[in-house]
Amino acid sequence: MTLTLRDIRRAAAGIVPGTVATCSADGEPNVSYISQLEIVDDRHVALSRQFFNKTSRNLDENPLARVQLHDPVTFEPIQLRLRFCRSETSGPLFESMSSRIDAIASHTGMRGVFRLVSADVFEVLEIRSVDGFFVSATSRAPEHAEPVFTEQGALTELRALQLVCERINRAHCLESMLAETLAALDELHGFRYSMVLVPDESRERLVTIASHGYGAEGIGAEVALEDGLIGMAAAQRRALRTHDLEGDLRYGRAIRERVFRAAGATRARPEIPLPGLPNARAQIALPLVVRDRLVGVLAVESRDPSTFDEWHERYLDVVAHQIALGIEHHGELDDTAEAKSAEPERPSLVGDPSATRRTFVFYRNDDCVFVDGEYLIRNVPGLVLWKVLSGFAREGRSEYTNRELRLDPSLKLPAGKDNLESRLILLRKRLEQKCPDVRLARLARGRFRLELDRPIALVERDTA
Amino acid sequence: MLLATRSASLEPAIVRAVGLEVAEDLEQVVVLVPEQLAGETIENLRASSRVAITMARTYDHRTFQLKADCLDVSLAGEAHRALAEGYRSAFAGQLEMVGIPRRITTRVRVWPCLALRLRVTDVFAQTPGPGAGERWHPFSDALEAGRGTRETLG
Repeated sequence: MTLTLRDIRRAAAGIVPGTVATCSADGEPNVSYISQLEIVDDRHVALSRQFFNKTSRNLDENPLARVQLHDPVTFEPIQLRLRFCRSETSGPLFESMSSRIDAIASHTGMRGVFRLVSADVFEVLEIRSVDGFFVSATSRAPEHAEPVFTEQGALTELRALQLVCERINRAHCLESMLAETLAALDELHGFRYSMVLVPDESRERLVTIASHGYGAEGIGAEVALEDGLIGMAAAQRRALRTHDLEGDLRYGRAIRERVFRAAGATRARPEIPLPGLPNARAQIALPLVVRDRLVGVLAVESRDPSTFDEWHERYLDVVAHQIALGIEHHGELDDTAEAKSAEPERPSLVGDPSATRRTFVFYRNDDCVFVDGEYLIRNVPGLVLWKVLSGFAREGRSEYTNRELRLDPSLKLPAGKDNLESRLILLRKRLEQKCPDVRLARLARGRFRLELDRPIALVERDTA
Repeated sequence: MLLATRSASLEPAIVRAVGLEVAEDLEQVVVLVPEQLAGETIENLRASSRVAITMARTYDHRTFQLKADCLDVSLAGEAHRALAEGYRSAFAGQLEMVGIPRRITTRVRVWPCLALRLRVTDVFAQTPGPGAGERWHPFSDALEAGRGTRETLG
């Protein structure tokens, strides 16, 4: 049976590693596993070249190649007859293939050690299935031509997108916008695990301020720029998708093992623990960008390697634009809508004054706050918390506006877009997790109030 | 385990092999290829006896490539049937790790087979990373490295 590249997108994802055979000018065949195959257009594919040098030498002498892939659902083998066209070492195709390899390399502590040498582009001469591979006939399972909606009724893609956008637009604050959007992605599309991360004030790390499906522990998880798929999507402002995170990591670890052996030393960085499902198979990470400025990353994950395809990436790209604009929008509103509440300030301590004290310790050297001996938060959110707790301890003050926080140089907020609202969300979530009896309650847009259910004690130290 | 040959016009071809048996002399191997899939391979072997075989272990990507001359081809006897079925079983276990259920992989055809008797001329390391493409000397070193796991190489 003759197939088209459109028919084999699932097999091309590489969940079952493919193989490529080539032949030298003097007739010596060679066969090697493929790391990555990318469909370039209706008539061309590209193979990533990192290590298979014999394949490259053969292609220079004889452009003919054969690739065998397997559909990851039916295991049906598919063969591609190819003719080598060119090696690309720059440009959009190279950058796209390179990003994914860089993400694997960074996660396994091998950044710079293995990288894409070239994207080798081939003309597809023929694609065919392999008759007789199974003992009984199978029918090809359909590819993900249509997205599967979990809601009843005749929802179209556009209708679902409209519903997600409605929730984004209806939200009254950043926190509810993110929570509503991630919930909608689950209800309407079955994206069960998702998170939004924003850059911290150093802009070298991303911190999770909203998550869905992971429980409360997902909030606050961090990843450095350029680490893993999420860090690389942020650094390169490029959507990245993998179908086989586990397989990618096995590949990275195999190289790492070889590097250790070759070097005879422990030179490589340790593997980096990343936020998300420990056993995720498929992942998409999309940068949230407004006018070339990174405001965050949207990441979705699944334990099923066949869950996501190109359609999901494109769809989420549209949603990511909406979320990015929403983050920007809510940040701007905070600047303009901070009129003081008409209500008189109420006492913050609403609980039992004789209850056991919570002891907060602030470490000046790294702006880090611990509560009852456990790490709570650091950096800008840590400084904000300390300002609020100290204000209460000194003068009984409980209400603050975002505007006055922005004007306080001791909080070390970056100039310009400071993501203060994102940092307050993170602070609220961390308080909910670690000491729910200390809260920063929203009063109105850009205003909040400290509420305590029990007394507090504050200690300042230079270092831990 | 994939076996590559090439046609008279130097076009390469691939077929999945379903068993490998090493001879006592450590120089020859017998590779099993399902008869129903072997048409192009046999045609290519008429043009050239050279073959390449790659085998990898899914969980750690440990990979070798053999280069060999095909000495002869015959219908595999019943003695080889257990080897082919054992391969399918081990292969199914490896594929289960990447999410392909056994109800599918146990339907992979492994019999009847052709037995390709090969003289191994080279063994190359193909595990990704530094050292990929290095020649192993002698063949017995590679067997030693893979001992105990050889039957599970996919």
